[in-house]
Amino acid sequence: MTCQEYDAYIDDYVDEAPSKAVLSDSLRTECEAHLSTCAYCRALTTDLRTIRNATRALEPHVPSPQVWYRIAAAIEAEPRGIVSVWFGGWQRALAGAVMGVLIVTGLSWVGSRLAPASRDRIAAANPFANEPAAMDAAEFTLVEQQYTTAIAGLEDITMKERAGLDTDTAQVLQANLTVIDGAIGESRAALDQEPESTVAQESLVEALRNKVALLQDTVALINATRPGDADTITGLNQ
Amino acid sequence: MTSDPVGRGQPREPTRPSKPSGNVRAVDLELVQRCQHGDAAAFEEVYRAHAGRLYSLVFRMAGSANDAEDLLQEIFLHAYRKMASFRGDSSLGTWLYRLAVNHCLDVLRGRQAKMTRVTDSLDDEGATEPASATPMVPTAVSRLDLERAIARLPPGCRTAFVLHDVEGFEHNEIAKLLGVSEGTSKSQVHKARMKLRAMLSGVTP
Repeated sequence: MTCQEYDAYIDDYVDEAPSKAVLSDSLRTECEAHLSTCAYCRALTTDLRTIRNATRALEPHVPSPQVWYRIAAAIEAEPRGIVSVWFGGWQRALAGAVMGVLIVTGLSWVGSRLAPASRDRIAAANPFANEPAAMDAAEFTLVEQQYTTAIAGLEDITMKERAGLDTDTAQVLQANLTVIDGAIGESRAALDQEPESTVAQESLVEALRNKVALLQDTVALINATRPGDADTITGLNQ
Repeated sequence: MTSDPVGRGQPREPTRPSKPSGNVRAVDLELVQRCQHGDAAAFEEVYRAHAGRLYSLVFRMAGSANDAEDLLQEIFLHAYRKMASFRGDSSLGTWLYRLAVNHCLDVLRGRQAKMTRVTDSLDDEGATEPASATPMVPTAVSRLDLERAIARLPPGCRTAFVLHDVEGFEHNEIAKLLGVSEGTSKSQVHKARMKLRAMLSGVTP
């Protein structure tokens, strides 16, 4: 078997598993014979197997809590006559007002801690942009400090008020935080190894931004579900 | 689409919905009936049970968190509007999963309106292969690097790669979903793997 011939079977060979035979016995034997003599194809196969195994081990992503609020709000607006079942009148007004105020306040609060130049830099460091700009070390340190400060403030609020969340929600939030903290840890480790790495900088900024967003959502949720607020509104309605 | 690739439930990948048992179907039908009667808690229950898996799918197909959240919202709104069409032939998870895949493909096709098929866009693109006789991809690929590399794949081969390597579809199933030949599905997955190899090896594709 030549390299060109092996190339036609390499993906099937990589996809083979003990529980799943993709190639016939004779083809598999031919592939293995070729691999025993061709270092290039052997290296390529090893790399594709590594990628395949890493892909299988990918962890699930978790949507932000705000997605459900948006879905519930959209369904509420559906012309199907069940609006009142989803949210009562005052609850609807309260949820909308609280979410709106908290989101704006939260963003402003974090935004106020980020200098305009830094915000531009963070936008430029969008990991999905084609040509992200690199920050110099001083700029990056400043951005990281600002995010870290914002996170510390939001975590303080969350820790004090999290008793207001039901157990399931608290578990989901904790799971999300664990995933994000893992990403922050990985990014910091990568930065330790390569302090000038733009990719590692982007990853850390993205992870920190995600943590700020999640903590903002958490604070919003805590406030939206706080019994005291409902009592206050009920009292006002009476 | 007439195929039902998800419903066949081959347990090749853990992320893929499995074939439902009778009890699961009964539970799903009851949940759907509650949704149809305007039970908000029931639809939230549906969301909580399935949003995670569907979000992971759309995140990797779309390539960004913002797009994924928009898509997830659209998928659940679509599901809410189509609840009446759920008959329990497959599990609710399978029904939602198929709906999500189709919605993602519609959106991706819409973004590539100049092309007749999602996967046609890459037919002329070759992956830059690292010319090396020794493995170049680190033996321990970090999750972060891999996710970022997948997000950087061109949409056409990313779709085939996510459906095959992440979601566990077979090539004949992907071919039906995408409306392409099985050979095209295989070549797109191969291109994606080669591009990932180049990216993870530090060679810009």
